[in-house]
Formats: sequence, structure tokens, C-alpha cells
Amino acid sequence: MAKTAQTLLGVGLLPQVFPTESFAATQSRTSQEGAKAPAKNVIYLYMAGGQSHIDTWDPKQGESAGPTKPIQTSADGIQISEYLPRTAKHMHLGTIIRSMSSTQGAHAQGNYYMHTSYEVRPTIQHPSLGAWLSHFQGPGNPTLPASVYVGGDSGHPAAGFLPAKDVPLFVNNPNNGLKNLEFQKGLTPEKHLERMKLAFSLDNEFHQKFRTSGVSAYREMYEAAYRMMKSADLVAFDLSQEPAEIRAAYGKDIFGQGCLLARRLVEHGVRFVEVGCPGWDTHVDNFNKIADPCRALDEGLSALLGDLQSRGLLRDTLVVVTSEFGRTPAISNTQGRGHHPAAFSSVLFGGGVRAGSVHGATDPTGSQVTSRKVTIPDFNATLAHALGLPLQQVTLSPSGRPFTVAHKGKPVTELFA
Amino acid sequence: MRRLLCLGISIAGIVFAPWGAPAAVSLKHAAAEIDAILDADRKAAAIVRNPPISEEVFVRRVFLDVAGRIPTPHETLTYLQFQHPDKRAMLIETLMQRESYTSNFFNFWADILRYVSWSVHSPAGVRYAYGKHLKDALSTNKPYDRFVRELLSAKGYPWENGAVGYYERDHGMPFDNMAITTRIFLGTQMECAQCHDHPFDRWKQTDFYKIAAYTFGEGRFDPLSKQPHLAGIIGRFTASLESRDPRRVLKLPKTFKESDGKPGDVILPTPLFGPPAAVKPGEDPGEVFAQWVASPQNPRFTTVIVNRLWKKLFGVGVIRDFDDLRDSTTPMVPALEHYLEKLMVALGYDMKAFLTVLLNTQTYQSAASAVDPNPEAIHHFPGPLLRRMTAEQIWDSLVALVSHEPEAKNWVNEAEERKFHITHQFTDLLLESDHVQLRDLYLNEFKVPEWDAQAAKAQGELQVEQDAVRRGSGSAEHLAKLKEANARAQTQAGEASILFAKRALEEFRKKRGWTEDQVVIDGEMRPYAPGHSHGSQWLQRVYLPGYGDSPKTPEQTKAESEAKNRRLLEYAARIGIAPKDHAGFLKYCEKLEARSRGPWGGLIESWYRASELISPTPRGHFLRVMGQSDRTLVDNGRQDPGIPQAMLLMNSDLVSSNGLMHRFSPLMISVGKEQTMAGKMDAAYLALFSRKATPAEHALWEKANGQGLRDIQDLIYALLNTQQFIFIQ
Repeated sequence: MAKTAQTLLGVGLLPQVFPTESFAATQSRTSQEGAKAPAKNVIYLYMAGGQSHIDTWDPKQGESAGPTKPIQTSADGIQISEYLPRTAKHMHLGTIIRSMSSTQGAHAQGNYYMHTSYEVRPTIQHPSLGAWLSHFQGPGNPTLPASVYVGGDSGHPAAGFLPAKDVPLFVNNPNNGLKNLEFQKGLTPEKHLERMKLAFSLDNEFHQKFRTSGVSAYREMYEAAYRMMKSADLVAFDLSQEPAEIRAAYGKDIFGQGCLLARRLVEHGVRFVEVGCPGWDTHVDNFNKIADPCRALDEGLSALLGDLQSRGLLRDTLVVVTSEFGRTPAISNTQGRGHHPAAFSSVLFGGGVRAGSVHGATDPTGSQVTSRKVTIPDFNATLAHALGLPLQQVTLSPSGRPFTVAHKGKPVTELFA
Repeated sequence: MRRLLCLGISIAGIVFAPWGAPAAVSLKHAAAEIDAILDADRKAAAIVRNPPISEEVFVRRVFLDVAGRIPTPHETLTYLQFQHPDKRAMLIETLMQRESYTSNFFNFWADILRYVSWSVHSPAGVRYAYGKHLKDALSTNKPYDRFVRELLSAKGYPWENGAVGYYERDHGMPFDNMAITTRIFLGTQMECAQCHDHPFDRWKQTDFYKIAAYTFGEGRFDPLSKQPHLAGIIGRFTASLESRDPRRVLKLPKTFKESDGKPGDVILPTPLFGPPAAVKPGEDPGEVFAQWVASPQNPRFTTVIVNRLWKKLFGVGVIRDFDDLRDSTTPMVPALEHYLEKLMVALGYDMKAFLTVLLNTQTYQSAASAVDPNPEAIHHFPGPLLRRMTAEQIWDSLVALVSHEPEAKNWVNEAEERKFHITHQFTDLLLESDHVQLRDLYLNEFKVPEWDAQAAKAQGELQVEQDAVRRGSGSAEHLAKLKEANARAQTQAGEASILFAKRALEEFRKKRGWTEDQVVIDGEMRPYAPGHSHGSQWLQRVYLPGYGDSPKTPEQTKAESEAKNRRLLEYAARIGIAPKDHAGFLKYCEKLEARSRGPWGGLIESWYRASELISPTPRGHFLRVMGQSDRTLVDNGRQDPGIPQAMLLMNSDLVSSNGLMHRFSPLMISVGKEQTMAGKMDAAYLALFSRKATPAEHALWEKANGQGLRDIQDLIYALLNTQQFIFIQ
């Protein structure tokens, strides 16, 4: 690979541009304790807008339930809401955390806190978990981005203060594949190559004159881009490679197709994929409005779990369902639910988590956590622990301020089998 | 006239202005003084200044540094052909007078101030007022100390003072705003001390509270908040007053754990360093604070700005970490630091004059450094560092290659200005109304809430049935009836809301003594929209005297558009576009202004300069891919590479006949005028690098011709993908 690109572009390249480490060699990672980390990959499904825990993972009886009914699941004694019938058949694979608790009750702040474990500060931007993974362990597949975000949230904290190489690749619409990856229409690969060779040769004098890291980094960027364009793994971004029935099974929403893309990316060595699922901010008409995001989640998640399991990927892949906060047990006079950070639910599947169980609980109305509270930093520490990230290691921002993955949260290790 | 300038007519006669030095200081002498200091410093360090640069390198560099974009071929040739011993100084002076200076330095300050042009948390038009305030300050070359004082002491409504946007930007986060203030204007980082004593610097948490006490209690005050039913009809179109509540005092927080105080202790405003700044009875603490910050007596105020501007031109400050000054901080060249601060004070904080001095130094006009400076070692400034253009400089350069009017104003901003006037007039309307009377009209005469409730009910019933039909249990017939009922209820609620709004406006008109003719309603409403917003939408069509320009009549709009087309056609004829292509040329120019999703995948707001677009641009926009700040952090623009940049430049339509290489782009027109391939190559080099190609480069291109590259498009594609293009030599 390295040699080919070198002759192709006809210039001498720094050896580090082409990591010799093979894709397979990057596969086994260990946690800071030296024990084998429970999970290699994370597929992080984010329920944007604040998911009503009472109408999904923590169904209640009585007034706060409204018309929503609980249903039985494949896990003994665990009920979830009737809005998630397909997922109910996979509950024996996962653990519901019903004791999540956040301190942030506004969307942007809650979203940021959930993604970074730090509160919003205008003086610093903190990295999200995929960026931390890239920072500590590099990309899973050196020809692909270290982490990918699928969805439309432009407020995503991305890599925060970490360098550009740790920034997730953003994919707005999974159906469209990657932007600008193909040669321009009408431009053959051969001609493109000649043009780039011309660019390099016309620029050689400039490069000889200015031997700065900034200039050479740009030449490396073109090499890396070229390598990615040539990567056999790029096909991971092309959903049209999937049989029609598989695509249909994931649901036609962007979220469902995003779940399918996540599976393909994980298969090709991308270790952290986030997929956004919008539509949970049900201030008005909760019981009708919630049907749409629930259906999207139910289709996408159940197809993903079934698919990962049948391909033997679920053991190493932690599937996370989470949100910035839950919603109020009280139902407003417009049949809506407000923001409720005090208590809500997140769910983990695969990736070594204890199967078919529930962690923590809320009171009978779903208002307060009554046992085993999990804070946002604790939750993120749990995910970081699953990936073998060093929770204690201090990383200095460019301005010299000290930060850690998950902001000193305590991992809930009993969630893992 | 502006457009004519943009079309390059008067550029032929670039007005080489006389040396515009402020009275007391000779700028030329100052430039020589800086060189003398640096020559002595370099001599002591056994370093020589880099060789002087050619006129070609100079013209490109100085255009980028002052005007924010590369020069057009016409501008380059005009300069190169101009004969005068002082022509560099003259070009600097000329560029300083142009509007491009404002555009370029607006981008610079927008990054430092984290300027966001739009926010859902902000009343419509308020951010526009702040942006305009900043642009006006640069355009009128407001002295820097006054500029800062105005931001820090701003009070009132946005139409009284656009500078209130400085606090409004961080509404609800006064402590963070203070940490930003001390950092950007005093180079003093207090973030850590917000919550505990600073671990590496001398600041204690109590120091932070002492300085925060100056502006504590400031914030948005909404005199209308007790009249929610009134504000309700106007939606987002009322602004709050930036003011201070004198009853609020700052106390140490419950979580305070340090030894020099206890939770609940009242903290009085006290400066961090420098001269005392006690707040006397009757004084506004915010004003006292602003005076203390923006003063030559403040030991850090001048230090920060001279370094900030020096870094902008030379790539690194005389003090590297000028935004994190410590007691131990030593400038790399102390004599230079001392002189620059003295100069800034002598110039009365005139930023244009200060920049002019720096641009006229031999040091600035020397070759860029060919290697990275050692970040640990003292830098002796043999010349500027080689800098990658900022995202805005790259974008603005592309705009000049693609657009025949690269300095044009974005029409979208006119809409923002209108929103600002709407907010102003609605706020005044509500402030000046008889609230008891309005409340009575609202509740009892027009019964707005009652109609609203009915509309909400009808909407709810409709949704329930729609859902039932979707599940297969509802009735289509019943659904049709509910739809009809809902439409009726919405219309009634809308009408009630409009009637109330009209009446409120009528009372305001009488109060102000305007004739009916003076109140202009632009267009009619569509008769259907839900609830409250209807009255608000109606009011948005109202133009009142003294609140911005009246709407353009269709005739005016038509005349303007015709005049513009005429101008463009005259221009087209002058640059030699064949008559059969005139219609196509007009269409091309029109398309550049359209707001659309560009063919290269990212959202292209349209081909206006960066300072004319929303700030920040959305993720995926060219500017963001190239590193424009997302405006969350101070000085957050990036100049490092990323794979999406290469993908964008190589594979998108940007560098194709659908983008920069469209046959009507200024770039392709100037290339197309040449008959020979060698001539075309020189024209392309002139447009992109402000010089002709060397014989060696001609030879490389001829060699490539043998490899199947025969079109000038092949060459231009290659040149736009070089590093020479995006670096400032």
C-alpha cells in the first residue's frame, strides 16, 4: 500500500505517513489495569431532545404512565413500554440502567454534559468519548477515521481541545455515503493522478524552500486523503452494498440507516460510531408524538442487535442507548412532558455487559432515583472502562489545564459480566 | 459607486493616498526604529534578517494581511507597473482605507470575541446590532481603548448601543464572561480561579470574585416581563435592556473552601493589579471597571494588544503567551516590547496607524522564515513566519476568483437589519402602551386566549384522529370533519390575534401622532396560521416612521435590478465578453448570490465574503472545513490540515467548471484572454500567485502535457491543490 502510493504520487514520503501496523494488529487493546477490556467497539445511539424514560425503558403504573402500557420482554421479569415491541425480544442481551441522573436541564447543556462529562464552559471545549478513544488508542483501521458521527447535530463537541486528527468524521445522511470521496465527474483516476503529480512537482520548489511542519503536514494530508480514497474499506460507507431486505429491516429513517452504517463501519475497524435519533422533545402531545422516534429506535436498534449477534460482533461491541435527560412524570395540560434530569434511563447491550438485567430503580412515579444512582461522569467512566481507556490519566489542554476522560466518574463495573 | 469599485474600474487608478500619519508621530520613523531595535537584537544573537522580498511576494502578502484576500490580476499588475520609490507605503495606505480592511479585521475580532450572528436565545436582530457595532468600530478606526471601554461598559437597548452584545453573548454566564474579559483584554487567565485558587498562577478564588464584583448584577432586564400577555403576541421580537441591579451584591459561594474567606462573605469590587479603582458612591461599577481595564496605566492592557496585532502580521507575538501573562513573563525582545507599547500609547491606540508602522518595517518586508521556530527558544524575528491563510482568507480569495463583485454586500443582512427594526418598534410599542387598556382588549374584547384554547383543542382532536387512522382504527370521514373544524378554529384564532395587534398598533400610532399614511403595511397575510404568532406575523409587515427604511416598491426593486444588470452588461462588454454570452453571464452573476446548497456538498451560503455570511457558518461549509472558528472559544480558528480539506479541494465541484473554473469566472476570463498556452499559464499564475510562472515551471507544465494533461483546467486544478496557494509567503 505504502509503496504503491509513493510511486503513484511520485514523491518521497515520510515513513510515518503509512503506519506499518496492520488493521489486525490494532485489534486487541487492554484496559489500564492490564486486564482485557470488555469491549472493542462502541455504537452510541443518542436520543436527542430528552427521551421519556417512562414511555420507554422504565414504564410505570398509574397517573404518571398516562396511556402508555408496559409489555413483557425476553428477559425474565423485565418490562419495557409497548412502544418498543421489537426491542423487547432482545432485552435478554442487555442491561437497563434506570438510575441515571443529570444536573443539566437544558438541551444544549445536557447534551454537552452527556457527551463530555464536563459542563459547558466558554473558556474550553472538552472532547467527546470517540475523540478520547482516538487520542489514547489511535484509529482502529488506519485507512478510516477513528470515529464517526452520523446525524445532524451541529453542536456536537467533537474532539474539543484535542487535535484535528481526533475529530470524528461527520456524516449527515448515511444514505449519501461520504462527501467528496469519489473523483470529480468526468475525471478519470489516471488523469486525477497526473494532475496531483503536476501539483506536487510544481510545488516542489516551495517545499524545498519552506521546510516547516505546517507545509509538510499538508502534503501528508493529501497522501492520507489519497490513501483513504484508495482504501478497500471505504466500501463500509456504501449502504447500497447491503441487500434490500437488510436495509428495510433497519427502517427507512435516517436513524435506522445510520445503525446499519454503524454496523458496517464497526466491521471495517471503526471503533466508535455515534448515531443520532431526533424527535424526543415531547413538550406537547407526548403520547402521539413519541410513536415516531420510538418506532425509528425500535426498528433500528432491534435490527442492529440481531445483525451484530448473528455476525458474532455483539460480544465485542457495546451498544449504548442514552439521552441528555428524561421527561417529567407529570403530564401537562397539553398532554406533554417537560425536561427531567433527576431520573432517567440508559441501556447497554453486548460488549461484555451482564445480560438481561436492570441496574438501579426510580420511585413508583419515575420522578427520583431510589437506588444505585449513576451520574453522567459515572456513566461515561463505565463506557471508557469498557474500552480500556485510562480514567486516571491527566491530559493537558493547549492552555495547560488538566482534564481526564469522564471527569473523575466511577465506572459501574458490576454492569459487566 | 461601491459596485463600480468592485468591478475594478477605479482600481486602475488606485488612489495612492499621501502618507496619512497622525500629527505627533512619524510612522516612517517608527518603522525605522523597530528595525533598528531588531537589527541590534539580531546582531547580538548572531542572526541576520531574511532577504528582502520581491514586489510580487509583497503585493500578495500585504493584500492578504490588510484586505484579507489575494489581489486580482488587475490589482497586481497595476501595482507592479506603478513607478514610485515609496510605492509599498502607498499601497499599504491605500489598502488601509478600503472596506476590505473592515471585512478582514472583522473576521479577526469575531474569532477573539466569539461573535455569533444568530441565536435562538437572543431576540431577533440583536446580534445583528452587535455585528454592526463591531464593523462600524473598525470602519471608523475607533481607537482600541475606546472600543474596549464601550464593550465593557455598554448599557441600554441594542438600538441605543450595539455594544451590549458583548455581555449578551454570554447571557446567564457572568463569571465566564469575566474570565473571557480578563483573558482577551488583559492576557490574564482566571478560569481556574472561578472555582478554586489557580494551581500555577498567583490568583486566588477571592481575586476572581473581587474582579467579578464589578459587573455582578448586570444582565438583561425586561420591563415587559410582567406583561406576559403582551410579549406573547410579539414572540421573539422584543429586546431586553442591558442594565445593572444595584441591590445585588456578590458573596463567596457555599462551596468556597479556601482559607482567605468564608462562604457568604460579601466581596467588594477590587482590581487585580495596577492603579486603584474604587467605586465611589453614585458611580457605575461597570464603568469604573471599563476605565481600569482600557487604560495605559493598566500594566497589561497595552501589552496584549500590541502582541495581538504583531502576531497577526509576524505569526508569533513578542511575548508568545500574551494571553496568559504571569509575573514571570519576559518578552523575547524586551526593547521591542517596550517600544511597541510606547508607540501604541503615543498613537492614541489607533490600530490602523499601528499596523501601518509594522507593515512598513524592513522586517515585515523580508522573506518568511523557512523553518519552524524553536518553541522553547527566543525568536529574533528575522522575518514573518510562513503562515497558512486563515479559513476566511482562503474563502475570500476564492470569492475574488469566482465573483465579479467580490466586495458586494449580502442581501440576507438586509433581512437581519429589518428584524432589528421590527424588534425595536415592537418593544417601543409595548413600552409606550396603556397596559391596562391593552390587557382588557386582549382578554375581553378580542378574547385572544379563548380563541387560542379552542384552536389548540381542535388541533389536539385532529392529531388523535390522525394517529388513529394511521393505526387503522380511525374513520376517514370523521378525520375530514376534524380537519375542517381545525382550519376554522385556527383561522378564528388567527383573526382574533390580528385584530388585537391592529388595535394595539392603532393606539401606538395615535400616541406618536403619525398619520395613517405614515404607517405602511407591506403585503397581505395568508389567512391561515396557528394562534398567537399570527398577530406577530402581521405586525412584522408594519413599517413605522423612524424604524428603518420603508419597504421597496415593486417598481423600485425592478429598477434596482435593471440598473444592476445594465452595470454588469457594460462591464461584460468592457472585458470582452461576446454579446451572445451576455445573458449567460448575467445568469452566472445572479447564481453567485443565490443561497443554496452548493454542488460541492457543503452548504454554500452564496459567494459573499466571509464577513458577510452568518457567523459561524454551519458545519460542512467550506469555511468550517478549512478551520473557521465555531465561536465557542476565544481565538479558535485553526490552520492545521484535515482529510476533509483535501477531499473538498480535490473531489468537490469547487475546482471544476461548476465552480472556480466556470467559463464566466474572473479567473477563467483572464486566462481565456490569452491565446497561447504559455500565456494562459502566466495568467493563471498571476491570478493565484500574483506572479508569472518561471521557465522551470513552464518546463514542468510542458512535460505534463506529454502525460495527457492538455487543458489549462488541468493546470489550474493542480495549482489550487498546492501549498503555495494557501500559505502566505
